[in-house]
Amino acid sequence: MGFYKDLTPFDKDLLKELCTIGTGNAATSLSAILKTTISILVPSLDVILPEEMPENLGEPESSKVVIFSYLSGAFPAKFLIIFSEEESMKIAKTLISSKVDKIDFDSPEQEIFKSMLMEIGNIIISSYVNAMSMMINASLLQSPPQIKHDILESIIDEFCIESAEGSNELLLLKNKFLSHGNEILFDIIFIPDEISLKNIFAHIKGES
Amino acid sequence: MDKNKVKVGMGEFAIGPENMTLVTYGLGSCVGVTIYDPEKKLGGLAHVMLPTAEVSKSKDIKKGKYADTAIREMISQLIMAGGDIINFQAKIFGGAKMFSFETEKEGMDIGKRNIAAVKDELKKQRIPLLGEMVGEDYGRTIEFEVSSGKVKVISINKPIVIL
Repeated sequence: MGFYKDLTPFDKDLLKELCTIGTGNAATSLSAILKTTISILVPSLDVILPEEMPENLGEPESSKVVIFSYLSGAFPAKFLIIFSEEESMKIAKTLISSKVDKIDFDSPEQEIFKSMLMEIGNIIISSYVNAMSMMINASLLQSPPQIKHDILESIIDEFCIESAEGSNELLLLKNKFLSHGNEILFDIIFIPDEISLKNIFAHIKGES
Repeated sequence: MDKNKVKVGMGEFAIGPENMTLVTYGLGSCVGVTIYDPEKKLGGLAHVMLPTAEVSKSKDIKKGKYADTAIREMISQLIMAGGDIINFQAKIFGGAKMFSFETEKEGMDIGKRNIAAVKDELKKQRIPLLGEMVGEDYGRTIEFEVSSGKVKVISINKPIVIL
């Protein structure tokens, strides 16, 4: 504990910049796939207690589609992409012209819909990771993604628990992707472990 | 929300009299524990995150977060409110494993550890376990109606179960 509290405004800006470069790169990839303009907002950085995470992400009681991937090695971190049900169904229509009225990943008919979303998630996260990797000049190891459709709180409680067992506090870097019409497409959340942050700072500051 | 509905957040617990419904949303690997006194019509619900407070590094722990402290604290509050431990009955929910990774270390299944810890503490307190709906890979929302002692379990794309 205490590490996150000791972050200077400069450190925070540096992390936000890293997040912006990551999301910017991801937005470019996504824009190429969806053939539309994608905008991103200024990222937000929050230091919270693990049990505050559901509220912090907003609408913890509603059902969402979440794509999850983690980084291992010297930079352990988690990535979450949170889609509203509505938005994930819209993407299905745009990309694979499939009309989904009600999400049910257990149904065999939705196998393609599910893989498509997971692939979108994978592309977004790997673009993000690649950009970060270049900026800090280190290779980052990304796990294959997993996808879940459920009440948001139930999907993320495992991450809250892991953090509650460890450092007691979480650092969340959030950003939103917006469509051409300024509608929210999804949220992307980057949760670096404490050790990751230390390594990121060491790499960036050490080289400047 | 109904004014007699009390929402129990992650790492919290609440007790209530007959006219209350205690609700907790989206239990994943967290475990929901209900304790009910059918004679006195009193009930409690805890939304437990971790097996034991013994691992906590900080001194001022949040009791509702851990299986052992949450159950003990809920029991003592139910007794203070007029409940009798002889009548107490428990039900447990949640403890799912939402994601599975091949590289996972042994003993990382937090849901399973939470379930074991809750059962262990209930046994220590000699409270019978009347029902359970645990494990698997989906989230559960539970609504505990204190007047009847019934617990409604709601999951996405699944029929509602009353236990």
